Amino acid sequence: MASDPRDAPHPPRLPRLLVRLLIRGRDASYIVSDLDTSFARDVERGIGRARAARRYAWNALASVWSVWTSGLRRLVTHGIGLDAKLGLRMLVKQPLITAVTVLALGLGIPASLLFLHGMDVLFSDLPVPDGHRVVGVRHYDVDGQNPLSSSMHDLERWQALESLESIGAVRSSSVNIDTEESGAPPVRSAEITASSFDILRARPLLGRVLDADDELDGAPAVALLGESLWSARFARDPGIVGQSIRIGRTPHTVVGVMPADFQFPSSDQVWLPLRARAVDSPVGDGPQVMVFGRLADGVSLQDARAEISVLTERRASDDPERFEHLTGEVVGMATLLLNEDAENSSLWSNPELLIVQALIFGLLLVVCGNVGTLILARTAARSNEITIRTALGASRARILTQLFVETLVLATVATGLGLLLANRFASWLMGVLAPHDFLPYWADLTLTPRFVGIALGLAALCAAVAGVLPALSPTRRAIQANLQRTGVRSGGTRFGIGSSVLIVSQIILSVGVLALGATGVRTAFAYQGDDLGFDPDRYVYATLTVPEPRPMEVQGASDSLAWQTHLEEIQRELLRRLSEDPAVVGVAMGAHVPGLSSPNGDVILETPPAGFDPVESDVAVARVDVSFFAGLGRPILAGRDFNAGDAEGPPGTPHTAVIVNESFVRHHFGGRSAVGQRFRYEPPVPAWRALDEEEWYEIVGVVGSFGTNPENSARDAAIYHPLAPGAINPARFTVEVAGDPEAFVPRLRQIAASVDPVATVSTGLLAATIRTESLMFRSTFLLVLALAGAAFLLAATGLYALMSFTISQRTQEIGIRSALGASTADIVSAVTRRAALQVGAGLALGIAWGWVLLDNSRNDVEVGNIPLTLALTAAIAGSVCLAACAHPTLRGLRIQPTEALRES
Amino acid sequence: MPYLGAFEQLILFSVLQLKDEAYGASLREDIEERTGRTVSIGAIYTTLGRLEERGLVRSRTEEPRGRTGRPRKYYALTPDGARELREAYASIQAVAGGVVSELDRLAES
Repeated sequence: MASDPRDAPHPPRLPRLLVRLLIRGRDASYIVSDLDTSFARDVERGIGRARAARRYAWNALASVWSVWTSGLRRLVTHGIGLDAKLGLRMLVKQPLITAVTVLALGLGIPASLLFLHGMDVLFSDLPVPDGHRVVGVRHYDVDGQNPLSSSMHDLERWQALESLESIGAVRSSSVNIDTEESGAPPVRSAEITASSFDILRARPLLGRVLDADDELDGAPAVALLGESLWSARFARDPGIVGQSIRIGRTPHTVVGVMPADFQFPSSDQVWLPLRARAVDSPVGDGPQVMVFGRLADGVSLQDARAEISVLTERRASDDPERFEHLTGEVVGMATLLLNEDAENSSLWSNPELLIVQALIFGLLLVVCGNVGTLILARTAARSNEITIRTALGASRARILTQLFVETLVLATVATGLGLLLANRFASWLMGVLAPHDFLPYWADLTLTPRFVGIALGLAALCAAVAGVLPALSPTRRAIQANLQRTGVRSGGTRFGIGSSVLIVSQIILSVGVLALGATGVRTAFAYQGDDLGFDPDRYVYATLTVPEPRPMEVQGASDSLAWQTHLEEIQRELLRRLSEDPAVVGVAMGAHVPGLSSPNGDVILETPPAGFDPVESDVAVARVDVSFFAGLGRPILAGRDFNAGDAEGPPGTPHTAVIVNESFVRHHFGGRSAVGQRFRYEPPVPAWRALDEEEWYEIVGVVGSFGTNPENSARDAAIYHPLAPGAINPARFTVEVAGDPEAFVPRLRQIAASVDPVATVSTGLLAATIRTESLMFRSTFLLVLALAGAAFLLAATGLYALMSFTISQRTQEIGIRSALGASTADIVSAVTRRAALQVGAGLALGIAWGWVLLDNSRNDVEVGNIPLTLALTAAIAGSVCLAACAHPTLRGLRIQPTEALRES
Repeated sequence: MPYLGAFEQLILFSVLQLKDEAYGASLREDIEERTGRTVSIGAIYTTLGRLEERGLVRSRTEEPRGRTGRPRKYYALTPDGARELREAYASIQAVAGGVVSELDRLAES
């Protein structure tokens, strides 16, 4: 038998403390006691204090392990199964909570992962064998903070890298294939080293890939086709290999066809040998290429990075001027092909991206908070059940587990539905985007196992936030106190200040955003295509790109000038031939196309008209050929049209004459004469706008407003700058056609190819493009409206939950008030006071926030009468809040004194 | 009805052996002495808790005596527990019948 415990030696403290902390439940004290007894007996047996202490420690830790694993096993086999069943029953029994949760979490959880998923998709490995071992090599300009393209000299130097088993290079462009005859659109093509096919482990579908002999100067011109092009243009002709096709001016022999999934590097369909050599151009010059390779066996990415750093440092010491500000980089292929900074390729390497994701998760927490409000109402309504279960022996952990599992069932069902929807949406989006090459060819938007795993993890987290947190307080109360309350429905559960803040802030947010969304949708849908000042259905536009000459073809400044002249000639010639075509009514050239979006600028007038406050706004800035208005038949309403002199002079000559449209005159001069007035642009003007912020520009003419801002015809002020011939490449041509513009497209390509078979032309139907832009504009505001609506719905649901809860908590009080002769108004006032305060505060602050929002959106949408818009929005929002409160309040009014007495 | 595991059988036999003195520490000592297996008090309690839920054992508690006394929880077999243990043992005997000598031979070869 054990000796008197008072004489017993003390077991080691730390294991004992662990046992006391970690073993809970009804047997805890017996386990602790028996552990002590075992220790005392070991000492009594004379095995030595140290050994007894070791045995105690083992016994203690093994006991903790046994108790915990046993508890978890019980939870899984007994508790959770039952709780899950209860949870499923709740789904059906409480359709409101189910609907709101499914909507909120079903949309919220997948939406919160879209950013992360987008990063994963964009920066995934190439779909080639061991794609993670194919890496890009490049220089990074530390001073300019941007990655650089590489030259053939870089490629030559990097061939010494031992970390790469092989190295290759590629450059992408577009080519015409037999366009002069067929009028077919240009095809994306890549000049590529033969080694690339080995790096990418690419095998041809037909024929062979390119080999080293194809790269030699004087070798026959050969081409490799993609399966899609082979199907579309050559009807999958099995005898295509060996046939000759004309690419630009040169006949090429087809040597093979690549399978459909090979579109390296950017949805390309034709591959030509890269024949550029380092010796053909000075160091640091020559064609820009992307260099990549495959890591050698046993070499890690870090090894390769270390090697290139050493190599670049050595170069910097040899040639500091050129290399001192550069670092060598080995990056993922997607990072190279997208020309992104390496730190932007992962959330973990860029704190800003991490913050964005954290904010998105923060929004999800707000959504969880809303769901939590509803769950709290449900938990409060079930306080009797919880109290009785507690009295019957269920621990607090057991009750919380039950609430967690019930919410988890709800969250999992919601997330599952959301994921199905998201996957369908991703497939649809890929179908829409694929033909336009908006996505890199390796990007697969459909959901990955990682996405599903994280989404389900978030569902569990949301279940904890929405299900367990609100229940912590109601389950903390002493059983006795709760038992006393049971039956009189006055349990102490309350909606805290947190839920009030949540409801009020959502009303504020949703009123403001609803007003903006509604205004945007009204603006977007008001446009019917007739506000442009011309009929876009009659127009086609074309973008002409003249490939720059190879460095070996340009020997000096005179050749450079010859190229400039060549470019100007091609553009002029295309303009001339198009204008002479019988199907063409009018044609104009510029950097922009009427009806499509153009850059904006803020202007400062030299002498603003006295007594007139110019409307502060962005102005569309277009750069056009001097014959632009005449070409499109747009009359000059005041002043004069551009003439050749307005755009003449060597590069850098300031061209200060501008033409503005009628809207500009109306907004800035109140309709008074603007001809002869001067203005300049408010700095800073981004360099890509090709405007001089120091220069004063003079208005020489006024033209009617047409096609400046299809989204908002009230904000269509525009400035036109004259464009020097050959100053831009690519140039855009706007062509008015007598018949069907679509039927004219192949003819347009044929004309362009006959002017220069090497220059490529991409075309678009103006009306269709405007419709797409308009659709995107509308979709943006519809999305804003939908999000605001969702936020508002959540707020209204929170109010409903609050009111339902209040009525059920105050049944007895309402009954007594009613018995004492309180009027309907008194009762309504008593039970709706808190909700009314919340709605009132939310609407008042929401109107203020909406005002700021609308006032700052004047340039994007037609805001109209802001007070009226906000008053209407607030009225609608108020009505919905009223409706949310009405049902529970009416239920409260129907409470009879007898009912209240029966309840007590 | 779930069958009795080997560890459960060990504990039940030990409870039987210890009669009125079957509590965590004594059971641990008994099992260790008889089998040479070191088991934890926690494992004994979780197993006995499970067996009690199945109605195979019953427990009684003894509150601490004096200021430094220790609380104890004593276990005893119920008739159901005795029946199940007997059946489990009989099953082992039935299956092992006549082959124990062969088992010894194999184990020592």
